[in-house]
Formats: sequence, structure tokens, C-alpha cells
Amino acid sequence: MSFQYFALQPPMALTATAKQKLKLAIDVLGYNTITVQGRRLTAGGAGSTVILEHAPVLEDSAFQAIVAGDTWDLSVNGNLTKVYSGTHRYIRWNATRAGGGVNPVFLLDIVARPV
Amino acid sequence: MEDVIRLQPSTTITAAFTQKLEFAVDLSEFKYVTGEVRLVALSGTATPTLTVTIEHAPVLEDSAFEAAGSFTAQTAVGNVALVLSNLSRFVRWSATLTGTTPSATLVIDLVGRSGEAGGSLFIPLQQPMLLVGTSPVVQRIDAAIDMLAYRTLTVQVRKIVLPGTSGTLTLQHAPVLDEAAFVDAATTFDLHNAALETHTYTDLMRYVRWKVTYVGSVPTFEVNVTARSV
Repeated sequence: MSFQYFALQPPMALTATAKQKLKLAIDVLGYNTITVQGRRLTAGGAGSTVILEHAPVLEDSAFQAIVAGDTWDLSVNGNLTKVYSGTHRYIRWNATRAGGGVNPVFLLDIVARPV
Repeated sequence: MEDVIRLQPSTTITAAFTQKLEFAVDLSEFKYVTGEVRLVALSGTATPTLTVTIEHAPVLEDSAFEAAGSFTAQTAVGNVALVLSNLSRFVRWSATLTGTTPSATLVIDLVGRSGEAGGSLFIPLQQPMLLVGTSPVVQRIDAAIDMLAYRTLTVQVRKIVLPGTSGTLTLQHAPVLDEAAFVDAATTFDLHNAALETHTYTDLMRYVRWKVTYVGSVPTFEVNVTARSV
């Protein structure tokens, strides 16, 4: 198996605190390392963040942060890449909308590799 | 590529010891090696203490061997594990045995893995269950999972009903499917904290199961494992 690209989240405006729908979570069982780029296209209110969660089974109650507190700050612009290894099978995002101002716009891309 | 190698069948030593050259094993296929010493009998006075060392060498000559790592010193019957990587080609063991008229009976197994990209697997190690039995409770040996082909295990424990006072879930691993061969992995799960908990383990030996200790009412929990070969 070679690498795989996942558009985990195409560009979206975060209008309220939300979690990615379960049916949109991606399955990375066959991959050991995921390189995740978060692109903050429009900066939003202070305190707005997005974090990646993982779970061994596709149930809301099974999801937890891959690394607690390892968020993308959505109150600033720019690209930021994070690398995780040995995650559980399913990956999704969990975003917090805070502060006033405009809605932050972000996207998440993932390159997954078997080693 | 992965395998379990019995470096030393059951033997009794009464003094310092070095394995004969002819019994050294060729581990050149394996990048990652996890060893276990099973100390099944220990006698003597003045605190008999066994310390086993794994030695390695690129060629099969006595003078080429050097220490790669030592197991935790043992002063009582029990098992200890040691993780090594990037060993040279040949491997043997040596030991020091201190005390007065000491005697130690031991077995040494090695689990070798190449760490190459290969398979991955999801395994429900334990469906939600209410424990039966008095603390500590260990998973039945026939429910232990064979993780020989997998180097990295990402393990999540969901705590469904918390124990009355306290509780801990520990993974145990063994090179062979024998009750006496299991040893505790270092990292544990706190069953009295309701939060989801995930830990990653690398280079456990072949068979994996859980052990739970608790105080107060009986906990209910679920254990899921994501396993990868690298």
C-alpha cells in the first residue's frame, strides 16, 4: 500500500461550534503516519480552534483528541502542518467557534503513509 | 518478517554464566527485538540476585561479543522484559548470579520483528463486560490476541461503569501462550477516571491480554486495539 491523500475538510466557514459528522470521518487503519495541513483562509474570532480526534470505532463517544490541546488556532491566518503516528482507525475534526467577528474559514488536508 | 526464538530452554545455573557460542542465534533479519527472562525458581541466601544480559556480535567469535542491554535484576521468581533494536547479527546471553549458594532456573525467549510496512488491524480485545471474579482479574488466556505481526498497538479503554473506589487496567504480554509467561506492560489505564484513555505500545511480545485490579464495586469497560506492523 502506498500513500493516500484525503481532503478531510474542503474549505468551510465555521459558524458555530461543531464536530465533523461521523459519516465523513476517514479511515486510516492502513496508514501509520498522517501529515495534516490546516489552512486558515480567513481569521475568525479569538478562541476559535479546530483539533483532530481519533477513535477505534465509529461512535461519537469513542472519539478523543489525538493529542490533547494540539489545536489549530483559527483566529489567525496561515498554513500549519502537524504529524501524527499510530492513531486509532477513524479521524475527524472538532471545532470551537468563539469570540465575535467574522466566521473563520479553514480546510484540512491529510497525506497518509503506511510507515 | 517476525518470529519467536527460544534463546534458552529451561536451564539451571549456580554461578555467573555465558551461553556457549554454538547456541548463539542469528537475528540479522530483525530490527526490533523484545526479550523475556522467565525466572521460574530462585534459591540461596544473602539475597540471591540474577541479572541477565543480552550480548551481540557481527561474527561468531567469543571476543566479538559485547553487551547490548541488561534485564532488570531479579531477586524473586517472575518475568522481566527488555526491548532492543538494531542489534548486530549474532545474539547470546550471559548472567551474573550473586548471593550465597545461589541457584536460578530460567527460560529466555526473544520476539523479533523486521518492522517493515505490512498489515494493520482493528481488534476488539474486550467487548463491554462486567468483571467476574475477585481482584485482580486477568483475561482468559484463550482470549489473548496474537500480535506477533504488529509492532505498534494503539489501545483505547472506554470506562462504562467505574469501580467503587479505584481500579487499574494493565496490558500483559508474553512470547508464548502460557499463563506463567505474561508480564505487565509499563503504562496503565486508570479505570476510576471516566475519561477516554488511549496509550500507544511498541514492541510488546507476541500475546497480549488485560489485567484489572480494583477496589470497591466491579467496573465495566471496553478495550479496542488498532495494530500496525511498523
